[in-house]
Amino acid sequence: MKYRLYSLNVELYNRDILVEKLEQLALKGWKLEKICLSYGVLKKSEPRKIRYAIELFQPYKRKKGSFSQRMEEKEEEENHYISYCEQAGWNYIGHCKNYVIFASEEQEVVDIQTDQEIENMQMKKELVGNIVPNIILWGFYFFFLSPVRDVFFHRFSYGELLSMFPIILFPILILLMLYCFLPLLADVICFFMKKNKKQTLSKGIFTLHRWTVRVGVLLFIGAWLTNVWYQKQWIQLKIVAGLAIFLIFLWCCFIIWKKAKIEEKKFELQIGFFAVSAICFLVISMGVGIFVNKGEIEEKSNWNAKVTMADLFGEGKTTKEVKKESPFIESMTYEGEQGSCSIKYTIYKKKMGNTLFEKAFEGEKEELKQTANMFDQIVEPMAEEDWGAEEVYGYGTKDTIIERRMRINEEYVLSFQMIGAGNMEEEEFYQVIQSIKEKLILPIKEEKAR
Amino acid sequence: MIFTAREQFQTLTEPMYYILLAFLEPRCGVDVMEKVEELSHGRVKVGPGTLYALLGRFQKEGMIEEIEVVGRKRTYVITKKGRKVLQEEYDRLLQMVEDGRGFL
Repeated sequence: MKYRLYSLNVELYNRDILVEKLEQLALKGWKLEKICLSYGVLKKSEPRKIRYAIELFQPYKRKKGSFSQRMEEKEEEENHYISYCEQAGWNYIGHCKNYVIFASEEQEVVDIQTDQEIENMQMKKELVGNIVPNIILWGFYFFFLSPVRDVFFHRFSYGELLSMFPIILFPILILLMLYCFLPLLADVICFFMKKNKKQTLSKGIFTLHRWTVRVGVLLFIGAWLTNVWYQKQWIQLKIVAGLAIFLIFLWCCFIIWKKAKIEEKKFELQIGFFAVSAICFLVISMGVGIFVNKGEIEEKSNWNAKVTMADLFGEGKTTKEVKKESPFIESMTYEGEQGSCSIKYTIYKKKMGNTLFEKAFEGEKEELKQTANMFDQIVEPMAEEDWGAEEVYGYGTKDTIIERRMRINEEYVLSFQMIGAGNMEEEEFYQVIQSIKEKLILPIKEEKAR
Repeated sequence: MIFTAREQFQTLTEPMYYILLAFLEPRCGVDVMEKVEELSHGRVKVGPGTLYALLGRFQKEGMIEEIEVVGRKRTYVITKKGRKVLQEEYDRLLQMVEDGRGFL
């Protein structure tokens, strides 16, 4: 193989380690050619001694101007800085974040940084610059995005906790946070340590950092497979297997295309081509997966998506049927008329995972609770029927006399809306409730029990 | 304590001192590296990264000024303020030598 990639996730604490690794690779015949995103592109060559330097670049700020002016000035200063280093005997390779990478085959070339005090001040500035954005980012992550928050605040239902996936998800998320937070912590600790102790600690953290993502990925795959087995969601396996096979196929196309007259300079183009192809196929395969999944649900599911107005009430006209599907929820909506009343009901079925499904229901439950009083005032006699569901919430307004959202069981939610129910006789209304219970709710519960 | 308590340019480090000496005549930044090595008889070597950082600080403090830019080459020369700081450092070093003369 003529080229290989090496991950260069440069941080303050791991620069010396990366330099050491690159120099060892040079001794084995792998020379750093360029930087592509956060990866070093190494080319196979004769083994030789090469010195590398990974330097933190902080431009001298001359002007205060618009963003584009400051960017232009930064580029100019960087070119200036690079020209100094090149004239001192260093060859510019590329840059990664705020770090510039140089190489030199002259063993006696002067180090780029020869003043420890200046280097310390630059590092201190970089550290301070990193701390605040990291704290904001992780605060945001923890409080708004992370399901870890749900575990801490017991947002999962008991049924959810019984499945293994969220329990394993918790350590995975800890690993992910560690992966992202560890470099900053390492930078701060290593900055204050003496040189001999710093090296040992840096190497340890460097290895740990690389392994957190590997272990995290393995754990995630294990947890996902366990969840698929537990939930019997074999369709997920099929989608992922199909995606994996096609990505391998894309990779083979890429290798063949690469061999057929590709210029070395267009490495970025090649990576871009591969990435775009993979993303396109991911989108297509998700669409195909949903389509395949849809077919399976229709074939196997017995849930009462076909209960029309006439089936429900003995008479009545169904005017609209709508089926909607997403990776997480499937729903069937019927609209129609029964006597003088317009009726709309929707059955929601949970598909993959619980979190979004539960959140949707929980969020609306709170909103519905707030208006329950208003409903009770309007249709008080109707407020206490036994709908046959596990949890029932409802509200009423002038236009919508009755709306109920009911959790039938862990997997199904029924939303029921009757406009004009106030025109019904009480007995007629109770018959409607009985129909809903017998023909919609109880069969779903019995099916689940089977 | 990692961060030095030195006030801004109250005393100069060796690289700072030699760089300011080199700018007594107009010079390009890169030529300074060679001049410093020459002035110090090979004892003090200034890396390009250190040079870049110091040039920025000296400019910010008004101790050197840029007098010409040709492509990537920038020429600087020491200012009055820079001369004053350099002279004070020179006098300080002489005093230190004098103070030690009776004992060493």
